[in-house]
Amino acid sequence: MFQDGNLWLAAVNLIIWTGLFLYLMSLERKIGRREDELGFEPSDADSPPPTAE
Amino acid sequence: MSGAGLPPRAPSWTAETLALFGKEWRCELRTRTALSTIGLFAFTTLVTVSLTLGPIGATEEMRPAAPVLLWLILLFAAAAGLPRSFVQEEEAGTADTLRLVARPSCLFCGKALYNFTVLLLLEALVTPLFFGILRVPVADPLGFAAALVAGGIGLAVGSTLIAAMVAQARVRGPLFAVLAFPILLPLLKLAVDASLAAASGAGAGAALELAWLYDAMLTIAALMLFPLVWHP
Amino acid sequence: MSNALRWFLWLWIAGVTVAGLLAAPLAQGFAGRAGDAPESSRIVYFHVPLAVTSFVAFLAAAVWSALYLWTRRPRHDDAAHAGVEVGLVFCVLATVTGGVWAEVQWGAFWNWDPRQTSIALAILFYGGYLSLRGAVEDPDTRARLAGVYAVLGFVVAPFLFFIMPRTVGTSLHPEPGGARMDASILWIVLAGIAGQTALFFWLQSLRRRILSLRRTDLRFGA
Repeated sequence: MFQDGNLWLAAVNLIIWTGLFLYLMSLERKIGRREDELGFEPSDADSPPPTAE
Repeated sequence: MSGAGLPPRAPSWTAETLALFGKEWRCELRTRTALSTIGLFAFTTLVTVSLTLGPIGATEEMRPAAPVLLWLILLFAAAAGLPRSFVQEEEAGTADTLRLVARPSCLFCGKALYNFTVLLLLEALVTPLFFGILRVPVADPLGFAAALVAGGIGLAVGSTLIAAMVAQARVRGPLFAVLAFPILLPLLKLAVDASLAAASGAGAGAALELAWLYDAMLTIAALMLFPLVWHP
Repeated sequence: MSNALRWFLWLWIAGVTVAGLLAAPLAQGFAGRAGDAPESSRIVYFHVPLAVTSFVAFLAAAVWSALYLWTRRPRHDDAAHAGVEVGLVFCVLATVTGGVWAEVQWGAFWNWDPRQTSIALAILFYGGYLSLRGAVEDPDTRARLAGVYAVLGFVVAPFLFFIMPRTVGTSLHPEPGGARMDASILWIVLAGIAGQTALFFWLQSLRRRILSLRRTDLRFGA
């Protein structure tokens, strides 16, 4: 049904996908933390900067 | 006398468009910046092509290269000269006056018409010269002229809209080509196909019809989008 | 959204990967030097979803741009900007996977196949979109001009994607459903499209939130 190489390909693919998803989820946490610090709600994205320097 | 206290009647849409079109030509004829840029650019590339390639029309297989080269010359000449029309308004500070007095659709049509006439003039000068020097025969001159007009309309309309955008940018130099070429390339491909067919006498066919369709789509979109570009 | 949903997406994409590489029968009807039913054809489970997703991405970016022009709310402009950036990544990956497969199957990375022409123009166009954003300083002008350009792109797009491929030359790309293939192949490709589209919207939302944060906090993610 399939050649041996495909098994390796699938394994490498899964490792890459897993790494990508872990990275993205950590990035999402980081974004969420910064949004909380700034008192940033998604609907606030239009309002003027709450912490203008 | 009795009408002295009334506000002046607004001119009709056509009159306003033609007035703006006339203004473009009067301004251009005063300095001749765009005309000399476009003309010299076209002439230089024409000389370069002719000098390096020679009379390519003499050999059958080289003939298809001629319309491609012609359209490249026209495209780059347009890119060299046409963006001026809006950049100049922004630089001279006349853009704000125009925003106050002119309707956007009239302004757009006036400018596009001006760009189109400049391109037609360029095509009328360059094309016979080009085919004469390269000795490429054109089997169907009428079809070829139709391809030139169809390509010219799209080039003028697309350039006008992109020029209005580029004029508001800080870095203008290469931006016009970067923005305009992806939009104009499909049209260029169609115009080249139609020109090739007309030059070889195969009949313009689908490419020419699609070029007209592209012109129509681009014009409608530009008319709808231009007010958004023009009014901050 | 919860992480459970993320892991479900991971499971979905992993499932498509495993099904495509290990379980699916080989698609038939491919001309070229690699033969009629090559193992290399399994790249369709990545290539086709990438291409379709990039089209969805640019369509979504045009919708967000139109929304911005309508409402003038910066978050819609951020959404369009993020959509173009992420869409461009999908677009480049679709081009690369297509090129690699074309080299294996037909013997050339690039041969100006109509669909290759379309995708090359799309990359040029959205590259131009990003240069336009870089060239305008005033944020409102930038958002307005970029919005106009993205909407303009979708006037040209039907021409590129639907009319040109059918009129200019012959394509080595099969018409949808044109190749002789098992129904299961189609289902895995469709599942791949669903998975990658969901991935696109996740990536786009992350990028949009970063862009929104950057407008208030210049140091973020720099």
